[in-house]
Amino acid sequence: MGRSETWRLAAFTMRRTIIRDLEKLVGTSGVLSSTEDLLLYEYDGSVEEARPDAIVFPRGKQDVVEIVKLANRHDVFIVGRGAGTGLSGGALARQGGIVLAFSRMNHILEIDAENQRAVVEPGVVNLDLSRAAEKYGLYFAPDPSSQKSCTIGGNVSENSGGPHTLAYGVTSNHVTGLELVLPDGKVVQLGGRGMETPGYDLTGLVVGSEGTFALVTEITVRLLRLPEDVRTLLAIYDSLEDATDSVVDITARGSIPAACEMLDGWTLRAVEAYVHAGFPLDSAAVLLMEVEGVREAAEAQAAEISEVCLRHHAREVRRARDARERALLWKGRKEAFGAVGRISPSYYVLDGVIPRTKLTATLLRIEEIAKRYRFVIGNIFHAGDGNLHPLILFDHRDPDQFQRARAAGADIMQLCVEMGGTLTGEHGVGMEKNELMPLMFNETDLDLMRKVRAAFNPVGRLNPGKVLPLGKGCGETRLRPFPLSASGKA
Amino acid sequence: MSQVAVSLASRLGEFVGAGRVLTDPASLAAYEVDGRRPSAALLPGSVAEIAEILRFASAERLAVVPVGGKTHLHIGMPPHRYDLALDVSGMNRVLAYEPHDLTLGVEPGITCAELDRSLREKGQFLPLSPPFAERATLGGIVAAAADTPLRYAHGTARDFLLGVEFVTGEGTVSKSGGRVVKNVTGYDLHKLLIGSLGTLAVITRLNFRTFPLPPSQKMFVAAFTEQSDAFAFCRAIMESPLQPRIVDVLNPGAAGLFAARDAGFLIRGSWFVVIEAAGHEAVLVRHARDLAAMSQDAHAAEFIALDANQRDHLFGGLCEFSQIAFGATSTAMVFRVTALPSELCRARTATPGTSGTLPRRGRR
Repeated sequence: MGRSETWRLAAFTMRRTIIRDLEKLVGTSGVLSSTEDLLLYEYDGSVEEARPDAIVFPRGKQDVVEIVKLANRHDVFIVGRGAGTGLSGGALARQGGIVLAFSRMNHILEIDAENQRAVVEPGVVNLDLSRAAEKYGLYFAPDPSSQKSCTIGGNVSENSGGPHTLAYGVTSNHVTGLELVLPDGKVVQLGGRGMETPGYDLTGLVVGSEGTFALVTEITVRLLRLPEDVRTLLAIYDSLEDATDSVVDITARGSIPAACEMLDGWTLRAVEAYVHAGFPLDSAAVLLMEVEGVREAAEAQAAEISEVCLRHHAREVRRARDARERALLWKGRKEAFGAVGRISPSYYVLDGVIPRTKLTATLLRIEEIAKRYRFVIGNIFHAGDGNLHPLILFDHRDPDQFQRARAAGADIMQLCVEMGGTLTGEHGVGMEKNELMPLMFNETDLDLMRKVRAAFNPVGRLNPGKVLPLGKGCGETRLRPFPLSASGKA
Repeated sequence: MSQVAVSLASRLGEFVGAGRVLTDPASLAAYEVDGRRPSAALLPGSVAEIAEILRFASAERLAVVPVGGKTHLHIGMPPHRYDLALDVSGMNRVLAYEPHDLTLGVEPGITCAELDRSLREKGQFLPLSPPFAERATLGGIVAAAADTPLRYAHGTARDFLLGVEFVTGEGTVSKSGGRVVKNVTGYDLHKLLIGSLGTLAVITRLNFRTFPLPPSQKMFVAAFTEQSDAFAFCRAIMESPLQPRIVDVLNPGAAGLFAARDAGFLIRGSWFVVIEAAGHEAVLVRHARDLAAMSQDAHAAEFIALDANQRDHLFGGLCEFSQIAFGATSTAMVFRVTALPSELCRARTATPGTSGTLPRRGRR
């Protein structure tokens, strides 16, 4: 037996031992390790892929603690995962190891209606919390497009947004307390139910840390009161510039709408063919806007917004007449990616932010990038806060196209930063953009971030290869990969 | 001045220029924290100077306290050691203001009142109205997590601080966040600086999201004889579809302090709930109608709508409550207790010897 065969055999035995130990903890039904199962966890909503070595489903905090201890004993990586809908590869086991999937920890532990708080396990689906809170007249404000399936734990990791973050803020604005399991197995409580607790705001720091600090096992969130009235408007434009001018004018007014979304001509045509939301096929752009609050506020704001849009040469401003029409318009927005999926074998959803006054200039530059790389790039985005989501259509089976799509994506990201914006508004850095971080932060900034991460995650046990650029690690590459990775890639 | 102090002063003068190092007792008295006085106060004019000072202090193991408007130096837990006061109040420029993008970047020493005046010229505001607004600096109130009546609608600095540039204790210039209204790039280190009281870094730039001024606003006061009725009214507001921007409660002691400063519309001796609605005229009318009815259900003795002058006077008083309390008696102490709505009643009654309390309803 050659040396490498000896190592392979030892590693194989080791891997069996780890899986058996995991099964002892959570039962055989709580662990997946066959090749076909691992394939399913190789993906999330991004264009990235990385195969884990085992998937384990904890049933509660104690399981999480035991799994973390086990990973320490065997010196393997751990990556937390919610529904796997993330768009930056945050939940992928980049360097192999155990994926800790929270789908069985999906209980709403308490709805404290009086104080407008809920305490949930991380695997609770975003929309399920709003449904459960509805009977108290409350809801959970962050509303990513994937809210039917994404989990609140995932929202906390990525600091997710959604269309209505324009008025209500992203996930971090709605989380008041967390329970964490640190990579050494210690359990920590941060924050509470109040809006502030004495000491440093570690809760605010951990939200958006993309699973690189700790595993979150319990989340306390704010619930908002459901508005008395909601008005949804669709403004139709013959020119993209008129649409973006309207956005600047609308958001600078006293009452900011709850949502202000834009679809460019190409995207609205793709969506219309699938959803039939009534977007005119010959228009250059549409704005989908929502205002809400007390009846009088919604009424006055809707009138004001219509007037502004018409002043900026909107061809027409439609108002949804009932819940059905409203749902249809939103279907056009929320299922847009699905619509694009019908047209193109693959698409790459980007996420960048620019100052909203630079929308027109940026969209023109994106058009140039599309031509240069010979792609169609559609734009559907949160116009109100300047959060762009360019969609690059490509065929992932063609390696050249995939490389070009990534290069075009990087160019667009660089453009956003040049415009005074940022690399990500709500999808996170993950393994998609960690090498682009130097566009925004210098080595000193990144070093401090590494130190802060090391305070939580000193040996890089959790979610390696994410957020910060590789190659200069604080323990980032110190660990050895899971023995004999099933993917053979680790 | 001792020999040591003289040599320290001359060393420090190398960083900021001799005129911006204070070592005379009269000047240093202003920098005292609960009886502790620094050996010198420095008035840097740039980020580079701050970094140099902190590198020097770090090498010499000198303890540095960052200072802004000196309005929160006496909130308790004084530093164990205090060698240098780093007074950034001279760094008070607006670095970037894009009204159409609703974004703002400022140096830490700009006062809240000064900034508010420039934002108002463009029809905007920042929902931070801390006490001593004429002196309080943006850097200082973020570091002290100072409170504001507008938090009911707008939350705390955490909800609209977009990014920060800062210098660490070792003298390294660093930053986190960004300048646009939405951003999740990198770790949110700036959240750690809110309320950190200068224990982590010296803030050298703050980027905020600004807010358009509402088209109009109306303030209402409901007076109650019983505390429980006042809190029941607050709960009814929270459970209603109304969206006021301010809900503050004055107990009889607090109301007495306000009445003493000529807020004649407040009757001494009872509980008051102050509410402000903002928006279009129809929205204000709706709030007036519903709030009047809800206050009646809660057995209010009186419900009044304030005119613009009364409103400005009372709003100023709510923001400056600490100053009013300190003005009334030299022995006043201000406590800040965070409690959930369900605990507010209890939290208040459990605070001994309070003469005036101003429960401020947290963001819903």
